[in-house]
Amino acid sequence: MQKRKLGNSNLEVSALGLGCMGMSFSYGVVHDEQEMISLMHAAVDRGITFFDTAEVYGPFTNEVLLGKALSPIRDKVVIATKFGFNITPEGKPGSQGLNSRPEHIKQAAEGSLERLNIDYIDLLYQHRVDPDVPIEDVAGVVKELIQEGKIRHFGLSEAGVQTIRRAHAVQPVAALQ
Amino acid sequence: MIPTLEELGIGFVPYSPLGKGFLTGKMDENTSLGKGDFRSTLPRFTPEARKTNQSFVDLLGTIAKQKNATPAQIALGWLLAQKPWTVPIPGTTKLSRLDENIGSPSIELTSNDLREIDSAATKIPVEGDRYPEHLEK
Repeated sequence: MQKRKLGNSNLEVSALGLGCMGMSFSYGVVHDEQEMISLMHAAVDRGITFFDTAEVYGPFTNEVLLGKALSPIRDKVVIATKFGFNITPEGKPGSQGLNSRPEHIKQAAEGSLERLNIDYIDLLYQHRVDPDVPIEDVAGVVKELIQEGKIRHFGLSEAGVQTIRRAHAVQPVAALQ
Repeated sequence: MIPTLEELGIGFVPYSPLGKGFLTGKMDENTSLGKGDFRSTLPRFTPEARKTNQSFVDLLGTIAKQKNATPAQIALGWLLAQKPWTVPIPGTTKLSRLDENIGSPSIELTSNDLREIDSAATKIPVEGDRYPEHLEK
């Protein structure tokens, strides 16, 4: 599989990534864990290096699944996850509203690291723009997390052009989803 | 959007690049979506929208036949051909689909093919929003 670079970042990934949401969320079927782990390993064997998840997928269970599959082969893969929702364990995923307050982002990143069972996240996206938190503050927190070595790259999802420019001025954005 | 990403040097990662399964050509207006399948809540997945948007799948299918490929491979191949910093992330839970998707980077779409897809696509109106209004916010 060919490799591609995400913009000017030095983040190199396979030309196709693997979206993992549907393995545990959204399409009405929860798939067998061992089968999904084998599928991810088959993807790696075929040259796929880029895996996409989010805190809200499950919630939490999709990250746990990726942790089981990918943490043993950490050096072969690029792992992307996302923050940005309020999640309560009993709550319907995503129904608790947006939350990109700086403290919440830090907690979410720690939780993702733990569930993925890795010591840094290659690409951390804001899942949805939170109108209550200036994007500069969001980019600023991610910048801190990058300086602490917990995150390698910053991404945005479903953001508009002005939001992207403002975020990028604080912390370069590697990818828009 | 794309010019801004190009100017700033930001990579583009299209999610649901197969239209949440629709562009594979494996579903139509009669396909029933199982209980708990979030697509049943999406305006773009009403039977009417699926019926109208079937023209897209037909277009992909026509090109796929010429290339000895599948509609999904043409959809992904088209995306990959747009900008070298685009990395689609199709999801799947099946090995057969994974292999199908992985075949897409080797599909050669000429500039003629791409023009043909673009011009045909602009003539097809898309029916149904991606998300219900409360999720669009």
